[in-house]
Amino acid sequence: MLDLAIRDLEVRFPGLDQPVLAISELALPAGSQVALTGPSGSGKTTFINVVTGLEPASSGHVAWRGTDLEALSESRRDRWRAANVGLVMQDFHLFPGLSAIDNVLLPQRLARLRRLPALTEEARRLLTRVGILRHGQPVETMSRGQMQRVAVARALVARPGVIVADEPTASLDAEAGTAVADLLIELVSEAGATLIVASHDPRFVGRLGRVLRLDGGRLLH
Amino acid sequence: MFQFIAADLKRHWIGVAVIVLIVALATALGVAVTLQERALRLGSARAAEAFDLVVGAPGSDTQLVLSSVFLQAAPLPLMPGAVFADLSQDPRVAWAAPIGFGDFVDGDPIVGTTEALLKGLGGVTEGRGFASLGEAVVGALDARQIGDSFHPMHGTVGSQGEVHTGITYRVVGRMAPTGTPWDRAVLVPIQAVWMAHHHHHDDDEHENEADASAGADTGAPALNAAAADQPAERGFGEGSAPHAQDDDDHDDAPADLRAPIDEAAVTDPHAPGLPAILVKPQSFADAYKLRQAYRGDRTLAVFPGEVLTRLYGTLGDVRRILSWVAAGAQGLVAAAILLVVMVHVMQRRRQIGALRAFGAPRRAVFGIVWVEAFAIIGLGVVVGFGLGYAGARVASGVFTASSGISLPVTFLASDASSLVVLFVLTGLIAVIPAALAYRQSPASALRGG
Amino acid sequence: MLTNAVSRRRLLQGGLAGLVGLTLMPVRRAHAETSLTFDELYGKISVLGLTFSDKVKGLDGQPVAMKGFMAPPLKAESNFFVLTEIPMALCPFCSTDADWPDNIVVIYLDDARTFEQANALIEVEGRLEVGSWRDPETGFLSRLRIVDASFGAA
Repeated sequence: MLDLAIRDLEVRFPGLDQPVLAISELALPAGSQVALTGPSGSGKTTFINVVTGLEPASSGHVAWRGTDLEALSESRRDRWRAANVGLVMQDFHLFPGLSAIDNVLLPQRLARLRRLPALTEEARRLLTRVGILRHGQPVETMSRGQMQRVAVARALVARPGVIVADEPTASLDAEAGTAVADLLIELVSEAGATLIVASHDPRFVGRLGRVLRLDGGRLLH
Repeated sequence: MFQFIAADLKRHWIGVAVIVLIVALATALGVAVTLQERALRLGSARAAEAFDLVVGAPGSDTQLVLSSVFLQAAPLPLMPGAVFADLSQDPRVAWAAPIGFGDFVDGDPIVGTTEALLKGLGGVTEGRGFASLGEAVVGALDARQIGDSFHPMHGTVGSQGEVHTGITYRVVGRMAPTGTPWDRAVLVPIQAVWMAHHHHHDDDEHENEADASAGADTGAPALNAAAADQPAERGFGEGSAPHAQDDDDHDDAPADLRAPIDEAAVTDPHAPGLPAILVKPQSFADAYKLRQAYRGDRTLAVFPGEVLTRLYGTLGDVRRILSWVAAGAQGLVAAAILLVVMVHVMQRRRQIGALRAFGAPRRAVFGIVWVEAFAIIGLGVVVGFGLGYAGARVASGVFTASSGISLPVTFLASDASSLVVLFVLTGLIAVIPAALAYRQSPASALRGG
Repeated sequence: MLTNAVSRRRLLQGGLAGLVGLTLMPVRRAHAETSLTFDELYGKISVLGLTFSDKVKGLDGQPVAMKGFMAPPLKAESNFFVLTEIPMALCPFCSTDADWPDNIVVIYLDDARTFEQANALIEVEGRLEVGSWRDPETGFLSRLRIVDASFGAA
């Protein structure tokens, strides 16, 4: 449940005259649900990298409830992200060889941020909620839809204030995509977290409260 | 974290196994060279443990030690019989024993000696020592049993040796194990060896009779001269026993062999020549004095220890060369593995980036890659120590089977520090891929990143 | 070239061929040892033979340092060696000297080891022991010993 305030943001890459992303002002209230659309190369990935602290901006401020990511060091941004952001990615990024539950818990185990028993319970609850009943099943034996549902559970397990999803349904068939989109919106709403989904998928664009359109690195209103 | 590492290693187990094997082989090479050289050194040193000072006729001291301590057959010149008489009366000598070799039975060396050597080598554990001329004591590993009889041969089987038909020994005892070639030797009274050679010459080389009796008459120097005339004759016996005049041409050896051992015959200044004498000095100073006193025109005194030490110098040089070869191999392997690991890390940059994107701190990423690299290489090192040890054991076993010298393949306390140093090096090498992973941007995990 | 450093390094290379052998074991240095020479070992020659000097008698049980040469080793693997005033291998006339080698000192080390012989001056440090003692392992008698010894290049 974090609110986002962006001011005078610019991201430039070396060798390019134009900034790949330039946003003079953007405010998202806590708990808002936003779809981010735009053609390929419009700056969607850069936007996500910057608001999650994966990548620093060239200039400007990106503040989540007063915490300016641009003022933090790289390792402090990592720590902030581990505590506040749940990520869902197009390619799932589950780790083969580990079971569903271990995958859900892995980031927290590595970051050692929370006490584990409570987390384990929450992980089981979420896995059951997303329809994965065999918690010990190795992820490499799952279908793509199941994998993305495990990834959704992983993004939510630490109760982050922000969920960011990058094309979460793009590599799934229609049926699995619908299931994942439904789950994501439902669960984030239950948790009351802020949701940003970069996607062209009408199942998101139509259902989320607000749509941000990016083109050439700038927001179209 | 360890769960993740275990899953990761398990998933790439073939590659892991190959790297472990390569590291293990490279390590094993160095370990085996070290252990084998040490085993040769310690094995030969321990085989010579009971031999403080060896006295022989002037010649090669290395050959004297090889023949007397390690029982390697070679023609040795003889010393005058008076040398033993002198030594046995010397106050600086605790005890002295003749070593008379040159005869064989089924390829095992027969050594003519006295009771003193039986005691000096650890004593008789089964049966008893020899009391009469026809009795023999066998080494711990000799196949012959107490009660068995055998005929000695001059020269080894296959060479132009001939059976000494006139003489038969009966086994009456077995020696304690020594871990030396003496475990396969057969020990008989030196007087019996002298007699056998006397008979041998009587029967087959009548022209020698004149020499023999002349030797007996004029004493030891003449015996030595006779030996020098025929250097090709192995070890023994151109001389004749003092009782040469008593037993004539007729072959009534069995009667003689029942006779008790005449102790005085050995210390008689007119006794036949000997190829080697083992001397136990009283004190450290006496050891060096005796060594000095018996280095001259007539005799050569040598500590087996000094000859071996000289050989170790050469052995050490060989080991150093092999060590450099091993180090080169290990360096190449280390470089190759580093390359493989780094390529692997690069290929997995998306996965590593994802770990960080999901909130794993950089130190966790560093730790994962470091522990993985350390575990793989460290396991290789440990397996390599095992392989090297096993290899050295096998090589030592083959050597022991052929030479009788047991080679102790052992790790020393200093090896532990070597292992620690290797682990530290492994840890340092593992830092390189870990640092590479540490620098990986988390953004690369995302689409297009 | 017989030095402690060399022999230790060799031992360590013996420790593990190849990459290892880079570290040196810490060389033990005794403190406050009294320097002793071969000339100072014996007092006058009495009817009973050589008698120890007052200095030697006074140093019994004390840490000492002595320079000398390693005699050809009696044993290939042992925890002792014999220190002499003159290198034995380089002394063709010594055998005619009746006294020689009476003035030897037996050096006992902590561990048994093999030696690599070289004719170089070495310095031995350890605790002096005076009086006749028979080594139970070798059966050899010695009159003067330096025990718990370490040695290195002089």
